[in-house]
Amino acid sequence: MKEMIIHAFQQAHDNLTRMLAEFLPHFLLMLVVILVGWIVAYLLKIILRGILRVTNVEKMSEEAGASRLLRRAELPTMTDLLSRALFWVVWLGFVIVGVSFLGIGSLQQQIADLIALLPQIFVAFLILFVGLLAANFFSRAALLAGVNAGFSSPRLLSGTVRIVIIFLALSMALEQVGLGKETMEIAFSIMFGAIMLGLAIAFGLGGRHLAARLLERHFLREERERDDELSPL
Amino acid sequence: MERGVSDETLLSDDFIRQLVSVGEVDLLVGIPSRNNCRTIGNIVRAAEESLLRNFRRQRTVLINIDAGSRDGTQEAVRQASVVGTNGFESLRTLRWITARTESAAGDSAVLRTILAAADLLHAKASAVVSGSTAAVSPGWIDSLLNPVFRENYDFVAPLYARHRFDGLLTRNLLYPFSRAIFGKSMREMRASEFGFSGRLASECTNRGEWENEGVQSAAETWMAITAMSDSLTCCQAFLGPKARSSSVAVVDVIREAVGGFFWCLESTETYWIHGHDPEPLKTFGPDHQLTNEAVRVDRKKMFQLYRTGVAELSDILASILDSDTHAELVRLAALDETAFRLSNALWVRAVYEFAVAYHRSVINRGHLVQALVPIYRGRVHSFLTVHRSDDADAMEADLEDLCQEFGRQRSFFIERWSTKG
Repeated sequence: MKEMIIHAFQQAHDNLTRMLAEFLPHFLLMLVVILVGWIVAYLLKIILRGILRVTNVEKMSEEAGASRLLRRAELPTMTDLLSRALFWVVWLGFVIVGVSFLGIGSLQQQIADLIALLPQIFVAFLILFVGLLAANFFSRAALLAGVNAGFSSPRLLSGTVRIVIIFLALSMALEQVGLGKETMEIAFSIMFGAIMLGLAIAFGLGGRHLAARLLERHFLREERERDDELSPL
Repeated sequence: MERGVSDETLLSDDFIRQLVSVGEVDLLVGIPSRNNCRTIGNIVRAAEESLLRNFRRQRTVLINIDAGSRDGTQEAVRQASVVGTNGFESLRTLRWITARTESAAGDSAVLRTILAAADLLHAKASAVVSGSTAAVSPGWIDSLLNPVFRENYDFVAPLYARHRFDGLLTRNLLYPFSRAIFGKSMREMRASEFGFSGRLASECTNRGEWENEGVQSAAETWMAITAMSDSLTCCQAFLGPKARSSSVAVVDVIREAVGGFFWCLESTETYWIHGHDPEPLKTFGPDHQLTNEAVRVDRKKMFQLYRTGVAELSDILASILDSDTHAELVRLAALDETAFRLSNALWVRAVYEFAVAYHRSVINRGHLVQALVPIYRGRVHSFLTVHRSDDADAMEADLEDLCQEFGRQRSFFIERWSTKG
């Protein structure tokens, strides 16, 4: 009996030693890969940051309104954001490669799924970011046009433009990653349809005279009404 | 990159054929047109009369470049031409060239074509008269050509007799700003009529800046600034009364004129950044003449637009202006209309800060210039209130004060412009 127990412990000990002997080199290899990955990612981040500073990306980002958007969202500058994004993408890649050295079957499957989804998530974020930029640009254009034309509710116009564009970008982004595809499609169709119907009713009933004047002015090339009788130039 | 007359996309084969058949000329008058059948006949007659009466020994050519008129403008040009049909006698033949561009072609493309023609024909002196200008007389053409042809000036800016409340953007921004920066007192930089030398035509034609937004929207301003910043000789010539324009869209005008002017500042930075001593321009005739007929102006609406603009565009203005300037504009917007005055000092500071913000591209440049519109309206409101019953001399004195203020704040502007934002 005693011998059996000792044998069992001996076997368990042997197994543990063998497993550790098999696992530890893989684990150490994983740590090395992750460490090397961190160094490579950090170096790439520094290099990219230098390139972006030289190429005046900040100025372009400021002009496009992206910097303003990032400041509002309390995010770092465009240069920082891009270089940090590169750091994380590269390091995450090394981490995934490193983890795969452990040889855990189910974990490897999960990692493979995550890797397969990464491009779609990246494209979705890109769509969302471009959508936010477009919403920012067009809502500001609408606000300026509304204010300078003396509209009574320029912010309403600007806000509507912003919401429609953000909603469109969001639905496209979610469709990209395959989430709530049908719900988003239906919601967007309803909202777009409602806006168009609202405009149709407004122009058709409330503003038919205004619409007629606008169309006449556009197609018959009549002279625009003057703000006043003073010529600025 | 230089893109001169060799640019195949600029001049059509037919146009070049017409130019070649004319050969070299001494004088050229260019008339750009677009749906100007009501006014162009008078301009054609005035130009022909001027050339046939006063430049009889010179080789002359008239060029009409029409940008896709659909109202019979080109027919009106043919009918109005007096060459060979009346008693004018010239020792040389007056030649006519007509060409048509796409209706989508902008004013800059038409001007570029005229400059290219002047360069190709080696015209010694040229004048441009807009097809939309009413009441052009032969004297206008003489006044634009003579300083170049007989006195070797390179650019002749026009001066007009105008209503005392017309041209307020020119009076409050373009003229004093350019005078402070370039040191030359050119009152009408963005004019539809001007004269220029073959040297300036060649210089402008061969520059690779025509595709830039600033040149596209304000080619005349760019040409005037090119003349000033290239140290070519400039002068002004009084033409006569300028008919009041029939339609005005303040936002479009500010977007093009101010946006174009800011762009020109940027492109000529190396010339003005180190400063130039003020230099009076030779002026042929009186340097200003103001008329005083009654006009309808809705000052209340103007103030309301200022007040709403400053409130609604608060975020945008905060990103363009210094916090002090912005706060002062907001404080003024809260005042009663009768107490509201946008002073010279505040106006100049705001304009300079807009120019710096444009240079730094703090937001999209088109949007930035549009954000100036409410402040301009506030300034016009103050201007009209202050000068409601002033005569021409008092208004001139105030204009001089404004010019001095632009000069006083010039160093502040240059310092801000040169600082990286």
